[in-house]
Amino acid sequence: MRLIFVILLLSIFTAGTAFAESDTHKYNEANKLFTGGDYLSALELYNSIGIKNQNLEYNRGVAYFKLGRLGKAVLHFNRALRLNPDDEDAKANLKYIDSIKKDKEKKDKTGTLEELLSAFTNSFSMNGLTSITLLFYLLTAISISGYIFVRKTGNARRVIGAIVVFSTATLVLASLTAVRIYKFENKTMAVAMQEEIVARTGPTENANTAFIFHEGTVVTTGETRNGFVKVILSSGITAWAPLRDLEKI
Amino acid sequence: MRKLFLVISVLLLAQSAFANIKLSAKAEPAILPPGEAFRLVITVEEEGSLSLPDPVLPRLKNFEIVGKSTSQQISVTGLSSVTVTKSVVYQLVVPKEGVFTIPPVTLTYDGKTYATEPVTITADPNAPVPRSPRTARRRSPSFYSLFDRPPFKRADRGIRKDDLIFTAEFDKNRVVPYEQVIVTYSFYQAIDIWENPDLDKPDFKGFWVENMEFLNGRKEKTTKATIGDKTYRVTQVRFALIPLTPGEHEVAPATLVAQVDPWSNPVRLRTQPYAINVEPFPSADKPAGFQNMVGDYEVSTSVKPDKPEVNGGATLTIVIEGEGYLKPVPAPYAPVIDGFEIFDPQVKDTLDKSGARTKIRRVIEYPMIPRTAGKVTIPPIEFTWYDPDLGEYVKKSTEVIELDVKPTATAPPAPVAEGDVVQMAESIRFIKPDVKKLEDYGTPLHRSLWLFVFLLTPAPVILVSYMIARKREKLATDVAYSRLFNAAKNASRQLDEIKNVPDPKDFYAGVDKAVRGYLADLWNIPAPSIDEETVNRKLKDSENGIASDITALLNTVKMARYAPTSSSDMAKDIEKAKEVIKKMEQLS
Repeated sequence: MRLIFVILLLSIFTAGTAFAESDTHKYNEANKLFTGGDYLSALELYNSIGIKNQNLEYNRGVAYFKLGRLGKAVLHFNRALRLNPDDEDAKANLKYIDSIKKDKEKKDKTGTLEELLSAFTNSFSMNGLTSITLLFYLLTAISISGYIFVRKTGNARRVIGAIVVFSTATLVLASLTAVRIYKFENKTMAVAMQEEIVARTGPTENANTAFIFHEGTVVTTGETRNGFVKVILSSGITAWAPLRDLEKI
Repeated sequence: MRKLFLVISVLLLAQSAFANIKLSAKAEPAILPPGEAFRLVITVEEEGSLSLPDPVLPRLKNFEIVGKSTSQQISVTGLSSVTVTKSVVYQLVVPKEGVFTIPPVTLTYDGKTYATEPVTITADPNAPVPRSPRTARRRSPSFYSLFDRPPFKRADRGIRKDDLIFTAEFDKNRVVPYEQVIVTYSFYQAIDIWENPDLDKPDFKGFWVENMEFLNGRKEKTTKATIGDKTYRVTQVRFALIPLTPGEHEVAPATLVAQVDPWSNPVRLRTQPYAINVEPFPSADKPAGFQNMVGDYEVSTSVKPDKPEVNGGATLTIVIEGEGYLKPVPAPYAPVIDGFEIFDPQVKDTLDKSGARTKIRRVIEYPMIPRTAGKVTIPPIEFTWYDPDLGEYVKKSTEVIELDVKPTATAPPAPVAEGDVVQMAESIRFIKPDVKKLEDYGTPLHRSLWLFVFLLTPAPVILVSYMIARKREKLATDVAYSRLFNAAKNASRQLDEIKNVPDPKDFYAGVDKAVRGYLADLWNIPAPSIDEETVNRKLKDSENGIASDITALLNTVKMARYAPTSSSDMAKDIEKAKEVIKKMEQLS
């Protein structure tokens, strides 16, 4: 029985490793094809990799751009940034695409403190930030438990100090992590996939045209009705666009 | 009034058998500059029937229809003659210079077909510009807009039945799937009303619906019409209904609510339900791969650039343009072209709803990448549609395109900058490099169930810590509790220590000490005060004979200390002592 268990564990481990090796091989092969100018074959190979990886998303974006698919390129650069908000290449490429695409988007101005906090949180991976928060949470819990034992001794003050430090750090980190998780999970952003999309004043084909936006434009999406989704441009203008013409980031 | 209506009805019934139809068509003006609109007035005059069918306009290849209106006049002459005159006015635009002929307009009634004479139009740049009919339209009331309110005069008389009329007019009742039916809702008002009316259109179940437009993209049109001795202001909206499946589809009534004045109840006007028979496509000569395209189209194709490079981008564009509706029709599959990789197409539909029917311009773009250099022929792409006017399937193919695919050009040497570095070109950044292992981001930690288990763990740990700390405190401060807490443990330890002692005296002294010590800790009294009387008093309520067991044990131990016994008795006695402690623990 124990032997079967060991064999099972080994086979699961080897299968996982084999998949990882296969994906890595495909990724590196796709890079070769891309470098040789065969963007389509490279993209097909990138698309056949079934894992989430920031470099993979970035390279898919570049391949789509080379094939003239601006919407898809914007989508994958944004997905790369969701996995690694500090990816300077993805940011630069989005900035470049913004300079050549038809619709110009307004960028939100951020304060210095917000920028500093973003820089700090973005220097960790999503799971890294969550793990650090959990570590401080654990230290806070241990400190509280320790205080219970030493509360009537001379060490009580020191332990209280530790509790204050750890719990404050936990609260700050938990807030930053929550913001990061919210941004990660908040899939309300979408990218226009058609060359030209007519946004209407209501969720029907008969409604009047509110505005027209173009491929690659990033919009915030709201409720969905009747095959239409409410879209909000960066300027704040709202209308309804066909759901099939957008892809969520 | 009712008598007059009865008389008219009887006269009409009597005369229907002798119906005499006069059909005529004229252009106003017949000579005009190109690009200007003129009116094609078709008049149907008949004695004896109130329900005249609409005349059928032939296909107008050289004209653009920008509007249509209908009016009807009934005149009663003497007692025996009722004449109904129906006028259908089309607004047409002749786009280019020349002399054009509108073929005869036809009307089929009671098995007979009537036709007008052809009408000749001359588009001459030197002709005078006709008076624009737009002026009156700008002052029109609106179905939807509440800001364009007409001037109100209080009605000091009752409203007659024919003061407000609401009609629905369908241009066809027999169609094939995907063939459009135009319904025009007309609101005739002979009196001023307080508020703009609300149109409650039916849900058009079974149809794809497009709200048609008039000139300048307006969704409604206002004209004047005379019926009998009354002049009406007529407001119209139009919808194109596109049935998707065969069968009889009924269009439910539309309702219009008009508030005549602020003091009376609103007037509700309803149209009649209307049945549209959607017949299946004719099976005879139906081509294979027919994609439900219906209408009359022109097809063209182009490739840009015309000299693409190997592995460079190119786009094959197909344009389908004409009268019809293609939105529910899927784009054709990508053609197979040797030496090219072709991607899914991007389809862009532009609908022109300003004419008598919807016109569509569908642009299908196939991104392509040439893989080999040399001459490549893009074969003709065939399209098939059903033309309901002709009643047959039409096939058209795009033209053959010859392409010369060039090999990839060698990149020019990079310029060498002297002095300050100058960026020669900005482009997208290159791909990320190869990796030793492509990490899977997988499920993020915050979505894992273990995270929540981890978050909940400190609560019981803190609780247990608190309980342990309290117990330790109590043990340190409460002697009775401390003795009670440790009684069994101490007794058991002492019995274990003496079980191998060979000397019976020492052995029984140890047993005595362990048992008495246990009882003293249990009851928080000094060990020497444990005697038979104390045991019986403390255990007077116990029912399992424990008191007698303890006293018997203590007596045995006492006797054995002074009258030594065998080692087998010693083993039995230590077991008895353990048994007694066990029973006492169960008791407490």
